[in-house]
Amino acid sequence: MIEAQGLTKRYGSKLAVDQLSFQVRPGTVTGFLGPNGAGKSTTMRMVLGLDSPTAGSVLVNGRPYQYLSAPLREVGALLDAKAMHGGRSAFNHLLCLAQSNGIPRRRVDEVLDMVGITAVAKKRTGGFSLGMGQRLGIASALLGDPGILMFDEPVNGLDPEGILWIRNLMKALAAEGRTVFVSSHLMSEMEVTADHLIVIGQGRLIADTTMRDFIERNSQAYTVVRSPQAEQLAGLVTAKGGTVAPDGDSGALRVTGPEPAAIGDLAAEHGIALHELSPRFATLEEVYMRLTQDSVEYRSGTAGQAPHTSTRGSEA
Amino acid sequence: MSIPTSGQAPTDVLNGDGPGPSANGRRNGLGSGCSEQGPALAAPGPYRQTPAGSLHFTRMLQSEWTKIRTVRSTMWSLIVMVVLIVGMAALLGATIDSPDDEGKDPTVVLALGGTVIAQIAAATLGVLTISAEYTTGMIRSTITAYPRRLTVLAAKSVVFGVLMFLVGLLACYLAFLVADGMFSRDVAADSTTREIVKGVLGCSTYLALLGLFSLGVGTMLRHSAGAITAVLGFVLVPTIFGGFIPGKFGEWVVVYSPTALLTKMVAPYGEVEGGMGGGLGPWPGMVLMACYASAALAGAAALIKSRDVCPGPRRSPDRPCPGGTSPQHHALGFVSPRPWRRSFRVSRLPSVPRLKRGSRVPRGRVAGARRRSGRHL
Repeated sequence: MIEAQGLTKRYGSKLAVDQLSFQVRPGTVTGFLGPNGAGKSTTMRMVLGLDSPTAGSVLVNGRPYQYLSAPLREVGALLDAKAMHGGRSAFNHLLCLAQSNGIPRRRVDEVLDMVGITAVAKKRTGGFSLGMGQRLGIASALLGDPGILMFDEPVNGLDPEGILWIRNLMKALAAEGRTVFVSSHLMSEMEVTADHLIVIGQGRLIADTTMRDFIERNSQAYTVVRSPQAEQLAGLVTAKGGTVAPDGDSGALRVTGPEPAAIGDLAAEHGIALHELSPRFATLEEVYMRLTQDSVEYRSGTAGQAPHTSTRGSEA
Repeated sequence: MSIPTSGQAPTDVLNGDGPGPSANGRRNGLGSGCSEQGPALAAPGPYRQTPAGSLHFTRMLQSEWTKIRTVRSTMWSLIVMVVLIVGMAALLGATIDSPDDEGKDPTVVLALGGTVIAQIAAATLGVLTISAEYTTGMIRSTITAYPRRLTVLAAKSVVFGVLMFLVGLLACYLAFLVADGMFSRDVAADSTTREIVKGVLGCSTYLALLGLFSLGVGTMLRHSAGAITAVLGFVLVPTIFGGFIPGKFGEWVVVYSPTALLTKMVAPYGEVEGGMGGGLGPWPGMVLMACYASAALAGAAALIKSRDVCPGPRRSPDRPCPGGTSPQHHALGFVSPRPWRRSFRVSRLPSVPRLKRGSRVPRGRVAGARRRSGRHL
């Protein structure tokens, strides 16, 4: 259980996290969403006591992180894949972490085996690929067999097999009753992994709800209609109180309002041929993009054209 | 929204099924009702947590010892230190073969002269022990695993200090044996035991204290090159340039500089008390050296406790902790990465039209710009 109360972090004049209050409950995968610069990583660092909040507090199992008697046994965290000395071998990296929490040596071998990097355990981590580093980071999170797991962008650099693995891992961990808190930019990934969502923008809480609820409440169903007499049909639908907009450049129409059946009937009545009539629901990505539009801090020049590119990467 | 079943989870992933005392999440979270479901939990030999107890300092010492012995820079720095000390003793032992004019035994002085150079290795290792954690990002793992930062710093200091002292002791004694073996036929008077003990013990103490001073500076500056430069400046500059400062102040600077304190450990008793421009005796000098180290470590303790682990105060929050490499602008909290480089680019490069990927620009224009600027792009 992670509880944040009025969590605030200020860098100079800039408010990175603003009065954030939320709870991350055990037994579910809780997704943490927000555009770049929204304060996700800062929040996660404050949970772990790496950064101290300007105001407010965050408790882990009812206590501040600094007061946990053996933190790795209660919280496992993957913040970034490169939080390790490149000259040290994977085994020794995990060993020194294990020793600091009184975790036995054989557990190191176990977690190395779990994440599938036993073969390179004696190699120095500096030569690791991003994916291998990510696996090692996950190994260190699992080291203390903790009840709370936090992953910041866990699928970064993983291959499809690795993505499937981490996805199943997170779900299985949650199914065991652990608290799993995961941030990701990959909406599609979040959609199949998370049960609960916490969405923030510019450091403020936008939504704290279940995934289903989030999509249903924030999305609008619409119908894609394709017809050779599109203009005539558009006029009829508008007359019936629907809204019509072009759906991309394909010449199809995006109709909001009437049900697909009603549109079909309307077309039949007036002898209009229909080539396509398909109901659509917004994906998490679309909902998310719409919801966070106002709070995107770094916008590229082509905002709005392609959802993927409307926030700039931090490396830009 | 389709959710694949978790039956696909690798069976060896989740052998953390032990009812551990700290598995609070699991104890509270049985609402899902599927905690015993699926093959995922039927892993061989489930991990069972031993009771955690409170955080022990010994655990942290163990951890820091593992850290320090498993990186190459430790080994290299220590080898360089030993080679410099013993090598200088052997070199001087081979080239000088007579006592000085007053008939004094030069063994200790010549045997331990190498420490003046070897202190650079000690300082470097002291800085790297902590600054490498910051530049690689390891510090985040360290502090996450053990959030009591002062304990981390204390454990690091103890492990590093003891290691440095023992290796210094070994190297100095070895150097003395080498020099003694080479001189024995030529020198009439043997060194007194008191002088040998002072030289060997004093030099290794000095190396350990200088190492701890460097550790403190490394913690404060968080950047390897900057901290090494600062420490070497502190060690060498007063000795070399202090004499150019006029008046009593310049004298002080020389006399209380670390290298002068080391020299008194190396020099025979008769010389240090009268000569060397006065100042402290050899052992009081070590007390002063301990004060230097304590001051640096106190500063380090204050900063490590109050500072955020990742960012500087003015760092923009959209660039979280720098990844594998952390240049000094992050360590020092600059806002803009490499501002000087940007201005350099703008001012120095020829004004060639910027090409978008895939767009076609007449070749002549680019070539013309190249000719005008006289540079290759």
